[in-house]
Amino acid sequence: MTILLEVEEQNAVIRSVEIEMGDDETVEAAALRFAATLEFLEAEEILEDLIADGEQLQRHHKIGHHGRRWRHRHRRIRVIVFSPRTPEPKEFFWRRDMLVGAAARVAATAFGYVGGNPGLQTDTTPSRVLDNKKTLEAEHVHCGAKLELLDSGGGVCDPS
Amino acid sequence: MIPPEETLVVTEPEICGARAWAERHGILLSWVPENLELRAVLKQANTGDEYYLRGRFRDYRAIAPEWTFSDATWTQTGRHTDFPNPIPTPFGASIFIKFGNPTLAVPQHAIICAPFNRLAYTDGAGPHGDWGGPSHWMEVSKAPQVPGQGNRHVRAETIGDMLQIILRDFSHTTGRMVFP
Repeated sequence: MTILLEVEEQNAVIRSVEIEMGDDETVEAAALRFAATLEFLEAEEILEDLIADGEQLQRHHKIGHHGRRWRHRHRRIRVIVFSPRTPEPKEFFWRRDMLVGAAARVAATAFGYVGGNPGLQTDTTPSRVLDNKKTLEAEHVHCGAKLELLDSGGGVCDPS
Repeated sequence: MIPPEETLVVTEPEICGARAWAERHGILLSWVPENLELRAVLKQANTGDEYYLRGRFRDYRAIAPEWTFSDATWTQTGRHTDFPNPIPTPFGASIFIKFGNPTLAVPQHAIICAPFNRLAYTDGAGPHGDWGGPSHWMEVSKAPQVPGQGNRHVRAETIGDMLQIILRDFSHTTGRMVFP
């Protein structure tokens, strides 16, 4: 049977994907397939909020017992990150409780940076460098925020 | 020495990223390929003054480029008055410094002190004889972190990254540098 998963963000469907599954397979198996297809969500995260016909699905449920249109309200925030290296930005879906430093490291790796002290700054004028030790939420990174990579290493020069 | 046409091949994709970066930040940026020279006009937020950042890329990437501030005609460089005056940054010491070495007959001048700047090395009349020369600029950037001090060297390995670091510290300046 074909199952449609709609991923919602702020009451709007931002992604939808269909997979083919057997009636006797479990919801957990479907979540794994959805996660592999969507790439930006993990199966466990999908299972935390997975609804069909108004009912929260449980991981051990058989697929055949439920409707074919499923919904997941995801709790990640979509962030657009720019790098000074390239004109094209990249899109990331991060948990709100992710540390800025960890997010910066993920973004830096995606842009081909190796090592260093990646950090993130806002696209406001003037820009504000986010605290690597705080969470994205604590630094007021909202869904759809545009950020830019920079190296936050410092203390370059002491000629004495 | 690397033929200029080879350097152009290396720099063009990086210039592409730098142009997009400049557009995002509202910075006037121009590339003069025949001179392998990049020019960027930075505006200081608290004074409205313009500063003329110049990068030269002869033998890039084998050797670090030359970054400095110049006068408005892009000719005179290293003068204190053409440099922004640094204030403390959250990242550590500013990359904008004054330097002179009477022993080596190097007069007082202003420098962008970072591993990605050829002029920060002793060969370029800069303070750093301890970085192994401007051909080692990538290795200096990769120097390990110092316990308790974090990473002492900012890391910038493309032109866009260098501009980003310079702008980062430029945003922590007020007025112009004065001599001495």
